[in-house]
Amino acid sequence: MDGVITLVGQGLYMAMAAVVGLGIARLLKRDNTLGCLIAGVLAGMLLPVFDYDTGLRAENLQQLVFFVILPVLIFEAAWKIDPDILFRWLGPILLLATFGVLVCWLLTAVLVYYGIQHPTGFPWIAALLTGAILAATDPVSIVTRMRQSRVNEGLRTLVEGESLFNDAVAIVLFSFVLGIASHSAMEGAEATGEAVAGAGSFALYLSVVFFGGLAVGTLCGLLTAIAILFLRSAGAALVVLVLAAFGSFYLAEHVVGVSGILSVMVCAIVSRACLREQQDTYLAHAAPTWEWLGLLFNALIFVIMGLVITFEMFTQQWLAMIVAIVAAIGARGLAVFMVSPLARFVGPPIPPSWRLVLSWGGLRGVIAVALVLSLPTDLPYWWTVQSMVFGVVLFSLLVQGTTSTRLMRKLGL
Amino acid sequence: MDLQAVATIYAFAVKVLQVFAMLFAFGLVVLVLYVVYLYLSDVSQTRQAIRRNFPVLGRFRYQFEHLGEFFRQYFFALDREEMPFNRAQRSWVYRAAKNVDSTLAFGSTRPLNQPGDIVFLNHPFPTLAKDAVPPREVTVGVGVARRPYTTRSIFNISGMSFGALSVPAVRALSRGAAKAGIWLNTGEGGLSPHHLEGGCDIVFQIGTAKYGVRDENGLLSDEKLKAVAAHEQVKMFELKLSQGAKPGKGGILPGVKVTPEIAHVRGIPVGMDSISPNGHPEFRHVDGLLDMIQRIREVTGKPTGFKCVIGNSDWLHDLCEAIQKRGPESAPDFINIDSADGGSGAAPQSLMDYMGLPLNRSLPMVVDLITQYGLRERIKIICAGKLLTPSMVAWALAMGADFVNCGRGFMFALGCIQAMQCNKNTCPTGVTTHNPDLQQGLDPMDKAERVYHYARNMAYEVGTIAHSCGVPEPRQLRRAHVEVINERGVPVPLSDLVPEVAPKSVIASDRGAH
Repeated sequence: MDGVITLVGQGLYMAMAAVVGLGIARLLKRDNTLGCLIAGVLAGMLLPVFDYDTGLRAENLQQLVFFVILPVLIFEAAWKIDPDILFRWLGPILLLATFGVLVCWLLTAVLVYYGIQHPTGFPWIAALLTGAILAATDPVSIVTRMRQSRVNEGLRTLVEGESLFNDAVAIVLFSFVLGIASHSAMEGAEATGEAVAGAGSFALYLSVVFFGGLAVGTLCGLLTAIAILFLRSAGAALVVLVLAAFGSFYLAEHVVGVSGILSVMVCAIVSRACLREQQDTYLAHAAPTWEWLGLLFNALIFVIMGLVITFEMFTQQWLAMIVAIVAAIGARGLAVFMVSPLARFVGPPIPPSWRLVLSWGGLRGVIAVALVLSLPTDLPYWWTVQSMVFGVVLFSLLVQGTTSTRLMRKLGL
Repeated sequence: MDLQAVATIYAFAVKVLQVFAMLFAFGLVVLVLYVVYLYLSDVSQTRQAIRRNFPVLGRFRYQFEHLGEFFRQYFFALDREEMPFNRAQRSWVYRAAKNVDSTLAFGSTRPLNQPGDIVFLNHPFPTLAKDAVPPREVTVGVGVARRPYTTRSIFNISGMSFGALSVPAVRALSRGAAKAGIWLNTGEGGLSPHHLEGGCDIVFQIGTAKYGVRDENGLLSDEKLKAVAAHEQVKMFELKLSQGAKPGKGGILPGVKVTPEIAHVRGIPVGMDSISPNGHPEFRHVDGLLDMIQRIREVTGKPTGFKCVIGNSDWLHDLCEAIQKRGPESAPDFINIDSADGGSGAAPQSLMDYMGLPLNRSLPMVVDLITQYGLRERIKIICAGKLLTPSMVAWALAMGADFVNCGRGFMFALGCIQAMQCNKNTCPTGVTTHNPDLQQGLDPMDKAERVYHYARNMAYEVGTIAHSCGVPEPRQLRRAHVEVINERGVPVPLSDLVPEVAPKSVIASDRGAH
């Protein structure tokens, strides 16, 4: 009984911080994320004053992030995208999200590894982990601007869809590398019952995780659509949708043992596509619901980041941060410019000005923070990785976020 | 050893089977769920009654209705039954454009007893090859325009705007027209570099929205007109009053087809529907029309006329009287009569189907009218409207036309298959789409050859008809060479129905004396 009350108190404390953060963002006229980050730092400073414990620990943070926060964020992102336009741009999006993410991942890893040059304290596996975390982009600030200024629908879908799909791929990669790093094969343990070894079983494991996730997501999406059509009520539809977001992840990740993120994403896309005709009837309130849920969880992630971030990170790890920033931007740019020319073989071509927007506007945001917060503390290099990712995210928010809208205006988009 | 290999293969086969069994089971589950979803979705929607009353099964109706279009065209339609162009007509154009043998065997499939159809009257002593001459030269705007236009060509490319047509289509037309020595009408979409690249003669059309020559208020700009006229290739100017697809309504280019390049050529915003006003705001009566033509001719120095669909004919009398009062030099150098049955353009069905006179009424009417007023030599007559086979071109010449324009015939030469999607940006042959994937099917060099062959074979076969009728060249065909089948299925002389008229010079001078 006492546990529940404590939990409610801790949740409220953070939600309060999130609201304060939104207020700060309004006063500073900056992105909400930045405001929440500042609020998180303030909340962290106030903790010793109140002598209060938020209950956040690295162990439970990982599960909180994966089973509660990520499903909402991914489902919300997938729900926002218009299925018709998505299918038109599916080729380029998939190309960027698979091939592009792989290139970006490896490039970041190589750059970070050789930038740090410390094979014992920062081995290859740490570099690969950093690469996977930094491969997930979150172009929230340019998407907001695009929605306001009615730019080309194709560009917006490309940016949104690419970020959604590369989040999913990056999370799969992250879970995979983390499984190897912690020698427990975290997800692998459920899928195959044993640790993975050898290139062949790597590929098999990855494809089972990948396609299994897609299959579970398809089934969940259809079931969601059926349930909503059967219930015939706008209120019940919201309940089903929220249940679908958490349920498809739980089912895939915990019960079946395949990729939960892909499952959530496909579930959202399939059910949205199936329910196109019900947009104005049963789904009339879906968009605002996902908006506030997404806003809340976005804010929470950045409050948590603010709570975790410390001053020592900047004094001790500033060099690693700079290396990571250079690596992240360079790898993203290279990956986009290497892969984009291939887009015309799989769908509509991507004009050069869009490539610039894609690479500079590919901020690292909520997914990267969520992933790095979920790193287990028993990895010896976790603090380095966390500082690096925080550094990149901060740079993204402060520099890329503020300049990318100006870049778009300059390119006349 | 062998047994081990067999066991391995067996194990592998079992594994493959298991995977396929799983896939099949998954597919089955998805299928069942999908059908359940379709059922619920059909039952809960309110827009389509068939789907609501017959869930899932009702969907087949829409599929079949869509597919039926293709089945009818490929399997069930007879050679002479499709509209707007039947397969016999299309095949002739295709064969002419490919320059392959165009002879048929075992008799005509054309029923020779349909009221309204025409037959030509052959001569017992047809023109010998040594007596045949090329079509006589015709000069438009002689003695009036500073630079009159002289050409031998009979069969030219009708106005289809750049915007309605794709870039490769315009390029192919331009090159093909140059090689065949015919003119290319730009349509109302302005003059683009693609029109000019082949080096053909060009007739610049000025639409109601004045695309390409408009000022910031959408009115005619003299400077821009001068710039267009400065091109040596631009030979004539045509003021468009109305078009066959939609008399009484302006041109419509759907927003999906307004690409940045087209917007630039037209001088309008990208991606917005490009809708022309239904009339010229500058003038509202025949005097204004004549003033406008005079102004364009003065600014450009080139022959100027107008294009319209004929409906009400009172205004033509007014026009001719006004011309007689002002003197024959004030007359338009040509009148381009459009039939009422529409072309490639997007148009409301009621206007396309019911508005305006068809060519077999309007052409003799206008020819006779200007002959009566003594203007037949001054005003050249161009006509257009489904005249894509040699017989129809020869008929128009016999009726009194000086030139024949054709749009859709040249579209067939470009590869058009009459999919009738010109207004949707989804043309499967790349003629009227701006989707690069669909355009890549249309190679401008290859299709330019087809355009050339089509024009050349047309001229050749029109000549053949003329020679059979006993005249040395097509421009000497007269109404007496044609009979038309009456309602009892018997041909009667065309000159009985629309007799040749003589100038009423007495009346004309009487009116002049007022």
